[in-house]
Amino acid sequence: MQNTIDQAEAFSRKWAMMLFVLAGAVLAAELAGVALRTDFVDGFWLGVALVCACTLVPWRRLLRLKGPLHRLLDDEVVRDHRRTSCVAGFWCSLVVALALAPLAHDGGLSAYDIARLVATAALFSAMVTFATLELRAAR
Amino acid sequence: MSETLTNRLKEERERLGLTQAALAERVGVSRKTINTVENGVFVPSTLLALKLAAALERPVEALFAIETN
Repeated sequence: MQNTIDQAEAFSRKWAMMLFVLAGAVLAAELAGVALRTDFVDGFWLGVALVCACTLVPWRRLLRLKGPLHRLLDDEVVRDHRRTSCVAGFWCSLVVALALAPLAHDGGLSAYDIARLVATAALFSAMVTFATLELRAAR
Repeated sequence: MSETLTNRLKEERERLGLTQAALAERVGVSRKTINTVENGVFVPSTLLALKLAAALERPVEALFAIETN
């Protein structure tokens, strides 16, 4: 029988692994979207991106979920990791946006393409940062 | 000149014969939090520092110190 500390540890490890998978999925969906311009791929990317964005929201705090397990899964370190990962996502999206600006200016990329690339970069970096920090802290 | 926060959390925890998980349970945080504080990766809030001190039955200044380089 696992206690709450072990349960929280196991859950956060699985959550971190799931974030790596989702980060890979959103990147793969973006790359597929570059190669195949179909409604299905566009819709798939949008769906995965929305799910990814939801994983970065502190739902436990927003929904005021009580209980020992919820408290452990949103303690000081988790909040700090979420904050750090969102900062990483912000800087990554800024760098990608600035790097793509000349291409958008010359008309090489549409606003839709730019939006997808910036969002993918932000989500990918934020999720990978969060998952890495969580796994490193659990060592 | 830079200042860093050092801590004696591991020594004090081991003095009481507690594992990281046992201390985490006493304080009401995850084991990750205890691990990152012990390794100096995470600087705890005042609230958490006071909880750690209470759990380890030591004054907070016996657990944390400022080191000037």
